[in-house]
Amino acid sequence: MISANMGGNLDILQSALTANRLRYQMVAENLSNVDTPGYKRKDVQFETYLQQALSAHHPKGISQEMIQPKVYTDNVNLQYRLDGNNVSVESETAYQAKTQMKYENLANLTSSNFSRMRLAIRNR
Amino acid sequence: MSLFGILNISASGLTAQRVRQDVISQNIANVETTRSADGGPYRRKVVVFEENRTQAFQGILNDTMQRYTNANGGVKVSAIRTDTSPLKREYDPSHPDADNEGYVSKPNVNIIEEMTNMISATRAYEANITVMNGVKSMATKAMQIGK
Repeated sequence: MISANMGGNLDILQSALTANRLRYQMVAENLSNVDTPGYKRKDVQFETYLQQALSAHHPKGISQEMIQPKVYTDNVNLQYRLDGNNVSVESETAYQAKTQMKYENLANLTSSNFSRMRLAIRNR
Repeated sequence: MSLFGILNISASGLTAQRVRQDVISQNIANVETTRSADGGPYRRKVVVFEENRTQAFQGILNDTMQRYTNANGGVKVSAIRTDTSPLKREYDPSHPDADNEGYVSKPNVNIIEEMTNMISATRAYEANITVMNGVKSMATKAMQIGK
């Protein structure tokens, strides 16, 4: 079984991919509810947990339970919206682009990890 | 929810905005209608949006423990309501529907407000399309891992 000790930090990459996929799901929900009165936008906490774990442990010693992503509700109120909804289409679309790029970059990293392993095994 | 499940969330957003757009078109088309199906002038319709949550008890329990369990997600149109704000009254004694004093009751549709709502609906629709395209791109990238 491929563990975090073989060919790069695959466990952490996998957790990051899952967290960003979950974050993208929240962005989709926020944008579909952009006109729902009283709706508060949702987001995912992950990077802070990863940072805490990295400051305390060596990357190879971090398990997936330590860095579980969590969904939280953002209760900041927008001044210009009177219907209690705090989703701004522009900010949310920018956040969507950022999350998409993060996810694709992480997928690229994972892919190159496997390429490196394959290179070491086949020597080409 | 997998990446593909996110497409359902965006689809619900697209549907809701399209229903809203339909209602706006109906309002604009009927801006001068003095005879509606239920008698009297046409009254403006509004859509009511609601977050689409699967509210099982287990869902509520898990939410308080900060785990996300909304299996369907997105938004739904919970009702199409009639706007009960007062009708406009115009003085036009020659109109066939004028009352004894020569006033005609016209629909309570404000074209400017409807156009503004239409722009907002279009913007939200485009945002949901962007999310869907993003899902396609991400899934393509993810499927190239290990190739």
